[in-house]
Amino acid sequence: MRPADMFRVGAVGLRTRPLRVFLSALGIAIGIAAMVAVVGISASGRAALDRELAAIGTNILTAGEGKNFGGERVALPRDAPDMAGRISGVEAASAIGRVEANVYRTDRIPAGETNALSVLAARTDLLGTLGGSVATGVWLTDATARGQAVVLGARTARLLGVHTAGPDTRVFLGGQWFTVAGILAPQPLAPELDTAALVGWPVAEETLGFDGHGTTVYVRTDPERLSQVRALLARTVNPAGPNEVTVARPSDALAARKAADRTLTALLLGLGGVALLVGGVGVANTMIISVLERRAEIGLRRALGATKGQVRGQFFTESLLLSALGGAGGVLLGVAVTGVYAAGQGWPLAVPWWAQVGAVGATVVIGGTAGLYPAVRAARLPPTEALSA
Amino acid sequence: MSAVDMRNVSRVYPGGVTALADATLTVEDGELVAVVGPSGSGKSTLLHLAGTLDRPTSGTVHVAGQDVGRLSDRALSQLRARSIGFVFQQFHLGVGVTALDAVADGLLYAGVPRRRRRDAAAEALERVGLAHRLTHRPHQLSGGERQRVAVARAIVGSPRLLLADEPTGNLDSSSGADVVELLTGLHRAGTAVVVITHDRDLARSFPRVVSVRDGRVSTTRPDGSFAAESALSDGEPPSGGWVPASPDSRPAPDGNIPASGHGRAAPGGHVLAAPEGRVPPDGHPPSGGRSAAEAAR
Ligand SMILES: Nc1ncnc2c1ncn2[C@@H]1O[C@H](COP(=O)(O)OP(=O)(O)OP(=O)(O)O)[C@@H](O)[C@H]1O
Ligand SMILES: [Mg+2]
Repeated sequence: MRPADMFRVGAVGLRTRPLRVFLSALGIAIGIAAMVAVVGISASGRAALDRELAAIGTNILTAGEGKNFGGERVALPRDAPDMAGRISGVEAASAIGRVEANVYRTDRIPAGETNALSVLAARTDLLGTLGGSVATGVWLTDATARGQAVVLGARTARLLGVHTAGPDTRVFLGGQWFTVAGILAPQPLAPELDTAALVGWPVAEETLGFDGHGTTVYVRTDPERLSQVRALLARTVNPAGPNEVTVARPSDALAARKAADRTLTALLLGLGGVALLVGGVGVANTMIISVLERRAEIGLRRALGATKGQVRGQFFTESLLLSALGGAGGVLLGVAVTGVYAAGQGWPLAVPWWAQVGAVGATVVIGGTAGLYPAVRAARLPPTEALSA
Repeated sequence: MSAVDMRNVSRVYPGGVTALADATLTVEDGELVAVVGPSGSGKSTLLHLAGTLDRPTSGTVHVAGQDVGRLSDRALSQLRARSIGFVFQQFHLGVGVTALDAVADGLLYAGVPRRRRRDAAAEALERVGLAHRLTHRPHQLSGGERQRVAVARAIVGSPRLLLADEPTGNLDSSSGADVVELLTGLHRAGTAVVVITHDRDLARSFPRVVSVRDGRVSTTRPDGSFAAESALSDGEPPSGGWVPASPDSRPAPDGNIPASGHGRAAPGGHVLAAPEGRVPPDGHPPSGGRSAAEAAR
């Protein structure tokens, strides 16, 4: 018997019982859809992260002040950013320094209500080094860095209720009025900037009691030479105490944060698997009922010359088709759910090919397993007994 | 050559029911045979054995020259697919399957490509007078039409042997007559046709009638030229003038067998076979010739 004929014969049983086929295929589809959606959503999230990382770059390293054995903070030398900039493979280097001051919306706010915002001195090459941008206004220039100008981090601006930058917008910082020159866009690679108010390095030293020691040095490296730079960075920024320097790659932390929800993914995947198993039991049940109901048809086909193998093949094919139908529906449904979710999150849609192939493979295995026993039973039925049903 | 040759065939069902006992029956190619007998006498069992759907407990069955007992499931299936057609009392048409597809299925297992199957199916449906019902589904057909679809399915592969188990059992007399006309037409075209029937008038119109009673088989022809197969083994003398088993059976018009037009029929002589030993060879109906089972009907 030709495969096309076998397919057609297997499909006849499905075509003539559409509601039952729909319902038992639905069982499979729900399981497959759940698993495809779980895999798809986590893959889309990762794709979004990859896209984000690709946009902001993964070639930023930080060197921060560390602590010595006694737990005291060890400041970086004043020339740390310049030293770091001289490492071969470094494309740009900059720094921020902590300023012991607080920022308020007005001078009438009680001193305790700091909103946990920090004031940082920033070199004017900071934004360029990070590849960051301002949401509104302008970044610090050499001129404004000497004056009473401040650039607010994204969250700082929101917490202070500042929405526009300009000569008329001022905040009360370290007991003085500072004009808000700009507001930063969120900085995923330097989240500490989001909750900071950034002033120029000179004005911080002159009027805010800043000691001129950077607390974090940022370097942008040639992506090919990142590991060499990383190896040299601590020694270069603080030759006297390289062990008291904390070197990090912020994009690693970002990636790690997203990976944290992998356990949840595994759990959801397991639940989808259980749903799929239940769907498979539904298919087996449908097939057994189908064989019982269609004894007369089996007898007739035997009378028409079907071998045992062909009867077995017919019901096996029917079972495979039934679950493949569910599998295909499930993949479509899963991709649709992923698409809706990803669109809501502003993520790209990414359902890995292996999940789709795996889903189809799983349904073939399920359909085969579920159909095996009913098919063998159908084939074993003696023709005369089947006809008398 | 014989289409079916059964020798000393017994069929004992699990549980000890002897449905067929030591039956010997030969159906020649192109023969038209009616099988009669009371309910439960073993007619269907006989037909299933002749159609290779069942295997005998003892004895040998040859179909189209092949020893059924020696064939594998595959070879038996091929034999059924190519050489045997079945018609059943229940039409066995799939719900929602068009007449054309149902008939085409008659060639499915003979390995005929789909196009040729459908062409042949259309032709077979035309032969049974249903050329205008190709795309109709069972629920859109009358009972008689359904059975004609089943007949078309049985003959679409031009089998050598057609076996029909009470094909008119579910039909009114006029639809039944149509179906019988089809079967006898096949016989005229050279197919061996065996029909189980409870219709005595119908059986009487057949050139040969095989009677089954309590699993035993006897046969007769209108001209008495052949002895009852089982009667031979029972020591029954082969002689002419077999008579109806029932007193109420009416003789058919002299020498005319309208249904078949078969040349072998002799004047006065198409009759039902009697159970062995009950019928006097002079051809007069015995007064007590009815079995209890038949009378009960
Ligand atoms: N599968 C089976 N198992 C046991 N006994 C059976 C089986 N099939 C038939 N029989 C018995 O064998 C006997 C003959 O059955 P069969 O079906 O051949 O009768 P029949 O002549 O076709 O009767 P009817 O005219 O009612 O169709 C009956 O007594 C029946 O009960
Ligand atoms: Mg019967």
